[in-house]
Amino acid sequence: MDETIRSLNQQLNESTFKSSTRILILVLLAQARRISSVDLRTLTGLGKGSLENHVNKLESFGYVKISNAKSIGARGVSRQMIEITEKGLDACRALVKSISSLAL
Amino acid sequence: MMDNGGADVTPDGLRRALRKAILLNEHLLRRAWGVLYLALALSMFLSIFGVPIIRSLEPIGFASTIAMDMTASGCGLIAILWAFKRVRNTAEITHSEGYRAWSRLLGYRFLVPLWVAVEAVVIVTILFASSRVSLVDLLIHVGLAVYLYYALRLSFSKKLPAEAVIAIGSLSLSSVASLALLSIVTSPGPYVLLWGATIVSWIFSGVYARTRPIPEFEEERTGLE
Repeated sequence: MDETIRSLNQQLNESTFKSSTRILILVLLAQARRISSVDLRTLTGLGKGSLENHVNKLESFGYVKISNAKSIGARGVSRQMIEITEKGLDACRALVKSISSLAL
Repeated sequence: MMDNGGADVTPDGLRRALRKAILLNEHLLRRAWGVLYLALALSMFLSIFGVPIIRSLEPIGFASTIAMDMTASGCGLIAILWAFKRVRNTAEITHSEGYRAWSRLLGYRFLVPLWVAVEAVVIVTILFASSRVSLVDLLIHVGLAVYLYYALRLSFSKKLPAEAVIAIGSLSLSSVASLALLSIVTSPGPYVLLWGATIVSWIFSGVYARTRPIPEFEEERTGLE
């Protein structure tokens, strides 16, 4: 139990996890693996600027990857896709595991 | 959604973030299952009604029957693989190690050989025991219902959505009822009704799942940030 609390404390001390919104985005991406920024905005209800800030922060830590994909329809306008990286998945698994152990 | 900028996340904030992420992902999964219901409705229609309809227009041989059956089930398999990838990804995060091991039963390494084996059984039955084709087909549908129910339990943490209950319920009911009637009723009427109703239920479930709104959360409804 002490080990779990220490591990959780370490994880939450990371700058990435000092925001419940970033935790939400990361856990959502861990389950879905890849979402467009438009869909992510619709799901979370965040404004464009706010979402960009959080996603850029996650990208700076290597937890997500941002790319542009050509969409079918919409005259080939590219869509911004956000994909979780292996590092992001590992961080999310560790966080969920710690929280589950503590039955939070 | 409360964002505390750079301050520490409270246990309550953490719990809410996780719960919200899981519920939002269930919304995405519900939409993915919607596509699956529609694809499987088409697959069922082709495999149950497709061959008799084409036979009534022109005579077709075993090869055409087998080709049609494999096309129908192949489309169903592709839809299942696409939807189940999302289910596996979810189960990996939301379920314990034991569940994750079971979620591998939803992967292509298990599903594709299973499909090949099932198709082999169907082909052998068509070629050498054509009177048993209906029985084999119905048993496959019972197996499919059980398998889909298992995948649905992995997808949704609490209760199954209404459209999932309708879809699995109608498939199970039709399969079991058809099996029970097989030795008693020889006319196609009851089977047409049962399976026609099942296909309509699946189309309804698919459309219903695809049109659900994004879930609202307590803090948003009360205006809390």
